[in-house]
Amino acid sequence: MIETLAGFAIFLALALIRVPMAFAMGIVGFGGVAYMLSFNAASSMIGQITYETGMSYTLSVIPLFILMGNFVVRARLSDEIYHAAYCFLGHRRGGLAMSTIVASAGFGAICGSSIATAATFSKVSYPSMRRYGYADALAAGSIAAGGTLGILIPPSVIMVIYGILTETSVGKLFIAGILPGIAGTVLLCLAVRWMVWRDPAAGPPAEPHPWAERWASLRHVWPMIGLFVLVIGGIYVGAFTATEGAGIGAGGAFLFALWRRALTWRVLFEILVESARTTSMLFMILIGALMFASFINYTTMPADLKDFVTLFKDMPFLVVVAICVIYVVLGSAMEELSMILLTVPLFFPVVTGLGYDPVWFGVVIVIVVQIGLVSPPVGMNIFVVKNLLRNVDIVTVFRGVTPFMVALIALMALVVAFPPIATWLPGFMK
Amino acid sequence: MGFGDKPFALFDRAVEPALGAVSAVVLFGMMALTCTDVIGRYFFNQPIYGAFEITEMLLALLIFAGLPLVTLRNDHVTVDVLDPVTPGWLLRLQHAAACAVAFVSTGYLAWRLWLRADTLLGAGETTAQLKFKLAWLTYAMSLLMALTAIAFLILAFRPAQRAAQSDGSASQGLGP
Repeated sequence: MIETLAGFAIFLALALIRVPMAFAMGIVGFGGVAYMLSFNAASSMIGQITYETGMSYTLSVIPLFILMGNFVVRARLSDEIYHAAYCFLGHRRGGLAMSTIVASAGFGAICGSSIATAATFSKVSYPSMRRYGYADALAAGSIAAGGTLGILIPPSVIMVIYGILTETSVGKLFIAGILPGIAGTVLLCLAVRWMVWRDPAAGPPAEPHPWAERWASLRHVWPMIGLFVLVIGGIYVGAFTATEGAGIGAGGAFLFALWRRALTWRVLFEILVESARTTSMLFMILIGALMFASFINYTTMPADLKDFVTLFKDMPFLVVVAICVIYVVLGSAMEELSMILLTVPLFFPVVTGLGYDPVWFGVVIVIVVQIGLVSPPVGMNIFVVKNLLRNVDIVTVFRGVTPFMVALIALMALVVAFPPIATWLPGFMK
Repeated sequence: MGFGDKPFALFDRAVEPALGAVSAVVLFGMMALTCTDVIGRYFFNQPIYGAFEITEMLLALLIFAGLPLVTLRNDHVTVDVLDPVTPGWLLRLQHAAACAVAFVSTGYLAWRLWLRADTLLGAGETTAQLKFKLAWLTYAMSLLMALTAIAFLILAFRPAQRAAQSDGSASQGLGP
């Protein structure tokens, strides 16, 4: 117990002198294991973890999905998805903001990054919302919140990381994200409705499109729908592993970008190196986190927590609610990835010990991260949007994002209260 | 350009593009390999022999070749919420300390990987199907980790940057 708290304190001190997260976690993990066992044990353990993480077949899903997302971002598909959503929803009050959310969800179905999704739609949908006189708060809020759907709707980088940390099937996690993703899209759209109900001037309707044009707008979107169905469907029916699905997805997105003439040799090189860099960065963090987790596993903390929680074993629901509250509070102050990596080794055994499904908990964790990404003051998506929309001040973004944050909290409550939303679909997988 | 600048310039002009090229080729290769393997398996009943192992080895190469690149661009995830209120002198001190800590860590990891490679070489460990000597790959991992340590050293001599404004551009926008 004491050694764990000391570990967290040292981690915090290192992080605050700006030691990169990966090293702060790795060093504390190393020091901790050296203290609990021996220096030699820690040395061979860090060597082992680095070597095995580097050569893990399951992990090759990460660079391939990142690559797929980068191809899609460069292929400028976002414009078409947005246009299609706009044709169907634009004539409603707040319709452009709802289009942003629906388009973000569609984009998230091929891109596993919430930041990339928010950045993309800051460029794609903000100009048209501005043209139609949308309030900045509504525009910025819908972009920041819509972006978070990128990590809930498969593929998702956060799900892969959770899967690796807890040895949960990445394929099942992906499938489990589909229904909550749809529910999340609906809830965020309801938040838009609420905002325009409060202030009808915030989101004036655009002129309606004839049905012929609406159907025509879908024409440009179907290749990507096809790719999604191929990749996620293939993983679902077990035609291929998550890694193979990611490879096929990246290959398909590559061909798609070629077909759209979005690639020059130079752009291709940039996309590849960019994806490689993101991969390396994530792996360094993962190695640090795995070392940290091994230290935690040698401490009495997980057992202590479990003992403590058995006091509540008649009300497991209460424990889950408590964990969710802790996460929402932590998420507003911490960088989300490190939050997950630091806390999942502690909470996962507790939650699964209470009989909850690891896949379900993974989905809850992803929603928690979504909430963290849009919660003031340090939500990542808020800053992405703020920095791209230079004329919008930060307080406006905070104000705009709050109803969406409430909607995401409602989504979390929904998934916590009705676990089948997450577990029903993956239940059919082998 | 002073005497001490030369090796730094060399790193920027030679090592960075070389590693960029390596990681680009490796990643594209990984994608092509997976696609060919799956297509071969379903349509021609002929998967690629050892595809699983090649993917693993390519992944290791990809990650370790990318690390010096991440480091040189100062792209490691860092807690920077306090940056706007940190005075300049403290920021410089933090930067130096953080680089030193990371330099020691990566240097130590490089050394551990080298020892592991020695062991693998001695034991003659190979991959199961293709009989590729794992020691060579591990030596490569160790050398790339050593390059990362050098990159941290170079970074230490560069001015400390405040929290990069995340504008969702290429380097920042595509993380989780």
